[in-house]
Amino acid sequence: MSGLRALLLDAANRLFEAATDDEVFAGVEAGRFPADHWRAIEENGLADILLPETAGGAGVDFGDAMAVARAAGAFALPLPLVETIIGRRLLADARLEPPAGPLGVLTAAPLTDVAWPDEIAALVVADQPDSVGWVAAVDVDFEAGTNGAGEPAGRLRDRPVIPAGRSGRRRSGPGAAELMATARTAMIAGAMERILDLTIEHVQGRVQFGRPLARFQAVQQLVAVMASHAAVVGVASDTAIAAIEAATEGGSNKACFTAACSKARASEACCEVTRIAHQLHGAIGYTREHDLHRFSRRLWTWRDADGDEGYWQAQAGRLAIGAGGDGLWPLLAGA
Amino acid sequence: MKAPSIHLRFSPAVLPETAGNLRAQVRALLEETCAAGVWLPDGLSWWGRNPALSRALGDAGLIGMTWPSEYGGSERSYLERYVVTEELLAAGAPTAFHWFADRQIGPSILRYGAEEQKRRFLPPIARGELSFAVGMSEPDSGSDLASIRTRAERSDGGWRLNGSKIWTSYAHVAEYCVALVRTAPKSDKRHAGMSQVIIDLKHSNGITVRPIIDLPGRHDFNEVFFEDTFVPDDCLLGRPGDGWAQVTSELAWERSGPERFLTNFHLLRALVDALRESASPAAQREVGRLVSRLRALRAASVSVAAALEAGETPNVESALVKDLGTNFQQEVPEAVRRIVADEGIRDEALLDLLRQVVLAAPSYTIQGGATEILRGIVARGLRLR
Repeated sequence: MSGLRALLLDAANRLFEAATDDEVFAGVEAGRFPADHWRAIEENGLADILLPETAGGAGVDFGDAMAVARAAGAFALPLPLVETIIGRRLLADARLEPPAGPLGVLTAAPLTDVAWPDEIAALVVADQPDSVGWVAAVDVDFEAGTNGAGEPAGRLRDRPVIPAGRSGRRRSGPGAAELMATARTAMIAGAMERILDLTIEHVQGRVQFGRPLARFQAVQQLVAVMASHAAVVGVASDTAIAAIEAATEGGSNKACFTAACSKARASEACCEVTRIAHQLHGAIGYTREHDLHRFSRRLWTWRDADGDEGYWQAQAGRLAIGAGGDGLWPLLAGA
Repeated sequence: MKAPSIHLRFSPAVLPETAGNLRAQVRALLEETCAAGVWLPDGLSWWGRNPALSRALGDAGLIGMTWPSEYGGSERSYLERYVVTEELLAAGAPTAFHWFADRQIGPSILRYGAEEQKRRFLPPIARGELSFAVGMSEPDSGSDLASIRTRAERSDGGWRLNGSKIWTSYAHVAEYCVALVRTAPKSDKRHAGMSQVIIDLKHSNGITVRPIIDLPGRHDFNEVFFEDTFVPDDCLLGRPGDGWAQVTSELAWERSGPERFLTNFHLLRALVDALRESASPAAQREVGRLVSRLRALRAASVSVAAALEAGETPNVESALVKDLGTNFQQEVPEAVRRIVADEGIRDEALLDLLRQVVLAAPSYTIQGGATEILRGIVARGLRLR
């Protein structure tokens, strides 16, 4: 890990830990936006990390930004940070000045809902291949509700119309949907690391029949399966990040394929990882008294966000079939 | 709540710059030899044995790639070897003739063998001329390898071997077998008293090879009986009593390789070709599901290879890759079955291949470490046991 990334993660972990205490979550479930914590995150520049230095950003690379996204997942951060990081970057790419405040992002992938519709400043509209624009959130027709994690979320009734002067051309490169999918995959990877950690702690500490659950072979095998899925999702996340970093202008087919594969794999694994985590936590995991639900509910939300596994499997499958038998291996090997 | 502890580590890895040239070299060689009728793609992939193809690969410097040149190697890195291996697998090339010697026996000889053994065995292996079998399991010792009973007793100028080995692939045709045997009686230390010996299968006395027909109906497995078989002193590999450590130190190499998820890649290739004209959304999703798993597995496997190259011992990560990879391989024929039925595919070559792969599939999660054993290793790595 680079020195810069370590510093960045150190700051992020500190801020995220503060922004995810019981009081914050109680407020979130009651519809209250943790504005103080958002401000602290903004002041530390985390929402601007993907902006070029000329636009006031930290000039960190995509991998550093995704390490922050993974940390956000590991804390179940109930804030639209990743949407804002990617949204600001998309607007900067199109030479648009982003409005102050958090953002939502609409891409070509099916949108489930937009988190915090009453708190975000704008919805970034990036569902077309080469243009990006934004609409003030107050002008977007949202149907208010909550997402599966209990955060306020708005469903889009109609695709918003972008006002004049608020759209621009975005040079080709990884699509907005691929960027959001990669960021969401990183969050899922982080949440899975946490769930694995919670599960290991639980089975080591919980004694039944006179010994810790961890001593039972049946339990060991389940934890191993879960750890395997969590680990491979972490690898999938790294793979998508590397492919997007390597994507050159116009030549991003490889990045599209890899990002599609990674979100497909991450979303698919959510079922098995949460199933085993809940099975091993027993009744206490089926309550709001234990922390597990913060992470499992987010995995169930995030697996659908920015394109579920079915959507991304279809994308990856089309590219694979299009490559043909002889082209399939070069597509997978990236060479 | 602090940041979570990271329990397993798969650092992102980058393949060397020479990978592109190596890929091109392997692809050209395979295309040429295939066109010349040296080999044909079939359902067996690396379990197929083709001395002529191994010879061609040896001539091209693609066997024993990581070994020093004085022993016939080409002093390449392990990641370069990885690239060659995955290209051979992706093409479904039959490589069993040199596979075991190239993957584990050669490296063992290089690491533990006497100078004379290195000079005697490594160059012909690297030329693709010498074939080895692996003698590990016994009729009463499968996953519990430490319980082996085949024993070697001191005899004038060497050892006398008694016992039997089982599931010894190609022992009926290979020139040599490297076997794990007891050279000292069992003691409290379960893993002590074992040694590796190199057995000349063609010229030794007291060897009987009984064929075992496998589930797909092929003769690949054997049971090999030793009755007072004489093994000369210069065929003991490494130090007497160190056999267990020698054998287990190679397991990470054996487990995390691309053969754990690319064994039936040719079936996927054939499927993709059959879907080229038309594929329903459900078929697209199913193909996408398979390739998304494959993409992540391959990245994990490359990461383990890079860790090995860096001198680390990622035994837990390696067990994990084998577990996920072999489970994936078992899913492939089932997914292909569903797609073939749903899409009404009548391609006879594809259906033949599918029938072969269905029969081979149960072996994936048994050979080289059974699923339950691998998960036990992962659990130990997570400090659960």
